Amino acid sequence: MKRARLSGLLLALTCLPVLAHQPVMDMAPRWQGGWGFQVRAEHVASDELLAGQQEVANPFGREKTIDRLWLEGIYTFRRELRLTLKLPWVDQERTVVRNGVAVRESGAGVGDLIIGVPMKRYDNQVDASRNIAFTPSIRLPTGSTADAFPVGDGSTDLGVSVSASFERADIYQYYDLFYWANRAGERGIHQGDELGLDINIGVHPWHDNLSNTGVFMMLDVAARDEQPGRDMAGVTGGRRLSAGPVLVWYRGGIMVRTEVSRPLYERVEGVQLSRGDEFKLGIGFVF
Amino acid sequence: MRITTAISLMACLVGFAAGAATTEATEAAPDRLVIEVRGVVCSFCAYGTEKNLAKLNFLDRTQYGGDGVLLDINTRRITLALQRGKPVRYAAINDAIRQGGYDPVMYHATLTGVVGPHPAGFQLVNEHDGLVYLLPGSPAVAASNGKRVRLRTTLSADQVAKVRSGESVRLSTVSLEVLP
Repeated sequence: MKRARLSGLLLALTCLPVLAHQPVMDMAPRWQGGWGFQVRAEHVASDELLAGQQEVANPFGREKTIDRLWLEGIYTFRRELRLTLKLPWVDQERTVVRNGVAVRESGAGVGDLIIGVPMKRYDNQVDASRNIAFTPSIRLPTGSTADAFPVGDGSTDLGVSVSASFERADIYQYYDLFYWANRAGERGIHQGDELGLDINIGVHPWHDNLSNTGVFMMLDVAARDEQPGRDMAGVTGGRRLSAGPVLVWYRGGIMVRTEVSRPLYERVEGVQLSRGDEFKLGIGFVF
Repeated sequence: MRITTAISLMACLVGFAAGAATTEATEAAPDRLVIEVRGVVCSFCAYGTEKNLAKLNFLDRTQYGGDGVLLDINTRRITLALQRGKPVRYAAINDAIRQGGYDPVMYHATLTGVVGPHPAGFQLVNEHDGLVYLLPGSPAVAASNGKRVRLRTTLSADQVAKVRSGESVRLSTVSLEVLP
């Protein structure tokens, strides 16, 4: 049985179509002096134990449930240069095996702050718009490592991404290749570097010009390759491919996104829990 | 099973792709200015552009949902509802769109007024906003001297960027219709 501390809101929303990347932070604000913020809830849960690629018996009932509530902000100096901030509140539980005994561990609190500086180059065409972006990022150790299931790892990590998006009135595509260099943290935590690719492809089936209201429907595909590492539960790292549908509704400067994703392929280092299913819901405002 | 789930999801998305975007057809008129804008295919992305334009003091805010601006992502055109008696500031429109992250290309305007003489040739004082437009020295314009006309014209973004507030607007191409 999977449990979620934020179950009331999140489970009620899992019947909605799902969504993938971060439209608020990608599409807008594109205008000079624009700013915005987004509140985004994530729920990840798994009780599937893997050895490499194979699901194996889970006699101790190992499981994990992670809820994050992200507060994200953005400021656009000009369309070519933005600043983004992302800070999570984390509430998580897991069952691990210590000395042959199943142990329940938890952690809660403010997580690690991520600061990014997206630098974009736009190419506006007659009936389309496209852009490429280079985004250096830094993840600061604002999360505590004190809990048994710590919300932070105590390390300062560096990331970089290269992305491209192409859109017409009816079609949206986004491709993001990124890399995180995860440095050694506290309490023996040192997760491996991560290479990732996110792809969002979707359609814009409805839009009303007068009210600036519309809907996007997309498919999100995420590939990850995390080098072997360790956290306080044991070995970390592996490869996975996840996918799921995305639904975005917007009106004026408000956007709501819902998303579900599940692993289609996973290969873990050693014996670990699967990444599990992910549910996300966010609402963003731009000004 | 996981792969088939993904394929099913993709099929559902493709099936939904035939939806419609509602469009309110607009044309340039004496109280409407239509601007072709490159790349404006997403209204959420262009929200700031619309916000910038809505601040202009010569718009008729009783139109288009309360801000006087209609952004059509299917035709990539922005239509401004113009308030009578308030001079259009073309450079301000240009700046609002550029600062919004987009590139204005062409302005389509419809003017009405009486063609009259000007030291440089001919002029028309637009009845809607009082702006003076310098007309090209074509036979059609010369033949319309002293007559009330409806004039359709286009201005490039580069042309309007050079027009300062209160200055006359020099037109290079016009289509004239003498009014009864």
